[in-house]
Amino acid sequence: MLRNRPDMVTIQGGGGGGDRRCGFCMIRKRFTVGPGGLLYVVVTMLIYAAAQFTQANLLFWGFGLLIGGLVISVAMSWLTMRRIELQRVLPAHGVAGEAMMLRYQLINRKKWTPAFGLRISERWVDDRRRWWWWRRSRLPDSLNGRPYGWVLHLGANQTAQAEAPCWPTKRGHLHFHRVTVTTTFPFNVIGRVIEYDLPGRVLVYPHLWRIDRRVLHKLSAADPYGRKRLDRGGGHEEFYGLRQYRVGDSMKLIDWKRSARTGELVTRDLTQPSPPRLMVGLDLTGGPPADEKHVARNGGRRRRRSAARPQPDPIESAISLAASLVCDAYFHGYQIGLIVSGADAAAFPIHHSLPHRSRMLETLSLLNPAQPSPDAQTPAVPPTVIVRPAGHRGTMEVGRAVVFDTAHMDQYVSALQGGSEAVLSRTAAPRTRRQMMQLDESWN
Amino acid sequence: MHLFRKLAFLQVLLGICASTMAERNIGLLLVAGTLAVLSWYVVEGPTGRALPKWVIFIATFAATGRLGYELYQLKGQNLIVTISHYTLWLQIVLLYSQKLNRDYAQLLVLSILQMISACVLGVSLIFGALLVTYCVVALFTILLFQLKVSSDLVHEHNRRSAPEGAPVTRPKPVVGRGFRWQFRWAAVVCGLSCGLFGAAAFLLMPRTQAGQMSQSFVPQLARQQTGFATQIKLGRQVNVNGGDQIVMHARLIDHDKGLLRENDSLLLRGTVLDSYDPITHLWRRTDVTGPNDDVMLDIPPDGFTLLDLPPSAPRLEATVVLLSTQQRHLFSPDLPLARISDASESKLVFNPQTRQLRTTSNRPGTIIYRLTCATRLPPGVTPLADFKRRVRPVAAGQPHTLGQRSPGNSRSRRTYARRWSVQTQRIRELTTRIIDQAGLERDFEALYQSADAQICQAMVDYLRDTRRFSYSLDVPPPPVGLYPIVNFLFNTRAGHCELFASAMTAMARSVGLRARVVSGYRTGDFNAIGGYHVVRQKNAHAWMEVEFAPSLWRSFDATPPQIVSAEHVAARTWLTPLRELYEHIEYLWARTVVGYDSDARSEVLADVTRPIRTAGGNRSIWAAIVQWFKDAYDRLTLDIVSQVLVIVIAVFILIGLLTLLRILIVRRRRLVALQLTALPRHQRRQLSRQLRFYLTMLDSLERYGYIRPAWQSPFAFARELADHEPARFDPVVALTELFYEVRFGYRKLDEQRTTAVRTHLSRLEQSLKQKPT
Repeated sequence: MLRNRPDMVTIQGGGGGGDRRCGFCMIRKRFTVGPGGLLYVVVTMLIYAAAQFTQANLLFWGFGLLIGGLVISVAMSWLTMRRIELQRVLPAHGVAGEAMMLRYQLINRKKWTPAFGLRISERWVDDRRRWWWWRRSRLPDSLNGRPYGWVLHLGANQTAQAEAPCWPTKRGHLHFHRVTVTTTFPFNVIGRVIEYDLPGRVLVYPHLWRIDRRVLHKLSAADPYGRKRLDRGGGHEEFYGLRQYRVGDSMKLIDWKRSARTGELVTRDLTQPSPPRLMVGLDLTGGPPADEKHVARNGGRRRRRSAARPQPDPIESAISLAASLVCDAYFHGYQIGLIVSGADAAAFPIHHSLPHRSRMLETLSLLNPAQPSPDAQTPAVPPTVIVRPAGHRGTMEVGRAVVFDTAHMDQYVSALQGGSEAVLSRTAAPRTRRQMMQLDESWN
Repeated sequence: MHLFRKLAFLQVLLGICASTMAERNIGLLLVAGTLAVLSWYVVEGPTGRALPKWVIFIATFAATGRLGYELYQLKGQNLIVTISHYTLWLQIVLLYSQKLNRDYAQLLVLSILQMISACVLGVSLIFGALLVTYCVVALFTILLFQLKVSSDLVHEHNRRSAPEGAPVTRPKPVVGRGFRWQFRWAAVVCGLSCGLFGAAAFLLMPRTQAGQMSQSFVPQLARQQTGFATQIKLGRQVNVNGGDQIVMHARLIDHDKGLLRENDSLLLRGTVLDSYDPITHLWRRTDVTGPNDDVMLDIPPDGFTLLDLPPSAPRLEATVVLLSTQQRHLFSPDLPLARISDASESKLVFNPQTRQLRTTSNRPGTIIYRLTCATRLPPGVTPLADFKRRVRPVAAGQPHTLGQRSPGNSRSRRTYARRWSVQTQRIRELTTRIIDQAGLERDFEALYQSADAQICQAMVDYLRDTRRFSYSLDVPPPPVGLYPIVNFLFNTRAGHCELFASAMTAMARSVGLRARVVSGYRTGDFNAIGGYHVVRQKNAHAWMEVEFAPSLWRSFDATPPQIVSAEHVAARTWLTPLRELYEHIEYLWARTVVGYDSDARSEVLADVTRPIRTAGGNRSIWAAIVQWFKDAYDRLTLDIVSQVLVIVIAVFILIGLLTLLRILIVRRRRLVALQLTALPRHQRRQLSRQLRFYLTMLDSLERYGYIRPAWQSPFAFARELADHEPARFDPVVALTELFYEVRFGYRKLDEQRTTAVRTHLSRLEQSLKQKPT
């Protein structure tokens, strides 16, 4: 489930043309003529010529009809786009390689006039050009195309929400600059475009995989279902001992026989569960020379359908594998920690919580391998697993840790069925064995 | 988007119908219409599948090849029709293909192009109605197409930006409340606004005379379509009857008699045929009278006076609205013309020698011209008295000519229209016998004699004698070696007007008279609503004329007039007023829309701007406008016929409005009775139709005193009745159950339920007729 950002921005388009500053946002309006408009003009001129040459009165009427269509197109598109308010609703995050739904809430503040056929799209402007209407849209590297949304009808004093899917290909921040709303109603002759300066950004997580269950279990020193009992009371698992009744204890835990025997209420104390631990180490050191790295990184910059599929960047694969480990381990109730070597990133101690996982994912999303860490970090807990990009020697001390090399990525991961939402949207780990088994069955 | 496909198909179909109707090509309408209708079943039917691409390519090439063939055959004469045919076949090919948005755009553009060409050809009211319908359908089609293109564009963009293999769903239409009626209103506003602009352009755009480029656009449809012909070929079996298609409207006002009505038929001359070819049996026009006598007069737009008639002289005013303007021949009453004025800037020219009126312009559409004729020439006035003094050649040194011109000389001028070379002796003997029987005599060498008129009248009487000759349209070709005229005069003695006119011309020439055949029309039906004669194709007629003095020709119609009148005038039936009404509306359409010209435009502009122009002095513009409205009643001085027409139209409109009001009231009452007012509109309509049987049941019960109170539910009402008399009101329970199934269970009123409803209603009627137990 995508969650909306609280900092939505509202912009209202007013009347008039040209640039208009509304609050802190610039609104630009213009008319456009597309191929349909050119064809319309050609047909109109053809009818005019035929009317002049033949003097057939019906052709004069037809010519006037088409001129009327032209005027109505301008007037109606102008009228339609007046007093339209726009709210962009960005998701909390996206995942590289998966669909990310942008939502736009449109409010028609006019009293009488409805709007038809509104196309909404994002626009990234190349600011190097001087005149804004000459600045062509510059698509960010992490997108293959502009997201488009569509609203068929927006009645007077009504609100509608449009969805525009986009597929980010890279992790990191995806910045948005402007939103354009276009209508060519009624005749697809003249288009009316309103462009809003509406900056915003979404954090795109690395691509997430499903970690093979056996691999994950092998990494932990726990029982096959990922839990271990502690010799400490206060839990809900096995019998630990007896103790005096305390206010608040459950009635079910009172040992009535002992209580009858001793004359005091005695309560059964149960052991606490101890989830398995996983310390993920991402070792980006010891890579190939810089020129090879550059080539390898640029290989996956623009993925076009027509071009041959490029080989994935090993560093990105390693980051993706680490993020997948973090997500999957959290999903299975592990306590997770993260340490990164070879890039400037904070180390995360072992812990199990949603904010903890989110912070680790954010760190992995914003990780910049080109910026090495100023000093080597020494983790309090040695890593359980070390993830290394293919072709990297690595400098992290291995010890008893398992090393995952992205050259053998297929052995560790498989594609997530139904996208990463099934993993990311779950906020609590399974508590009981039955829940765990159900979860595994549902995954398989 | 299924609606869009239906509308696009309907638009193409309408375009095909309108184009073929404008071209008056019924065969093409049947073939193309059938193919187009069949395409819906082939492509969009339940097992529909588009034709393979290679078939479409071959068909397209075939259509293109046909275009080239037509262009080659017609040598560019029929360019408009050729283009229209090409676009028609391309549309039909596209209808059978798999259609993307691009193909739909091509289809719609081709349809519009076809309508453009049809607008050049079409003048009839039916075409006008088809054109308006086409525009309405095209409006909705384009609006829906725009929405479809937007949706597809968004989907295509999203599909392209998605990674390979990722599922991309089509965007769901985000629709607010009241989409349907708001869309309809937007369409209506667009349509009305466009129509307003169209009307403004139609009224205000300046009209000019057609340019030279239009010469090649003009189709030569006239010879194929009208009964009138510029040449007459004898000896072949032809259908000279023509059809009911209207060629022109002629309003004729005689200063002595007033408006000429159905009994006052008149000949309208078109062309003069003075040469007969005995080999081909062809009457045609030659110019052997020499260039000095055969100069065409250029009629200026403000008119030209041929004869200065005194104010008291008897005259005939004729206003002719010629619908078929593809031909250059115009038609004038067979009387001496006094004045010609052109109302549609059609570049009229007039040949005083042959009294032939023509247009040099190829401007298609309706031509309106007015003529003043002298019914009786004043003493001492000859039609061509001052012709040479006032002649104004069309272009300096280049007078207009008609047909082939042979160099004129004195000999040819002397023998012009006098020679007859087909069994001259035999025909002369017959003619001499007729002259002798009339107690007259004739010198064959003399050109003019005082008894020529009496001789011609004797010949007319001879040919009109129904004991000798009979009128027949079914004339078989003559035997081989026999001339048609000789065969008519001496063997069959039966024929149509062309044979009568030819025979009398031959008889007149055989005795030395100068005679020639005239081809034109005879006024037929009289439209009492509009007060004009309707001339149809079947009114085409031929007669002859004889010269009694230099440039003084007199017409003689040897065809028996009673039979011709019976042939040309349709019998009056109870449908005649309706037909006259339709024809009058078509006449108004032709005069006001198709024949709209610069004069009419000037009048409209003058009417519109008159209040402003006359607002001078102390009066303000607003006061002038108010005064104009006050005086509007006085300006609306209508004659009796127009008043009747206005009243009839007003009554029809009133009846229509009352009917509409009644339908709305009944529908509203039904909704209230069924308590459906709170439902959405489409659900409301559907349920209202389906639940009508329950109201029928309540009406039946009310007739017998069983009235359901408003507070009682249908179920409680039915239970109360059933408790009262179970056997009698069992159908009420069954019908109420059906009512609940349809109303609240959203079941369809299918065939089974409909049968059950009928059965229960009939049972209820029968049980109600029985006395209560």
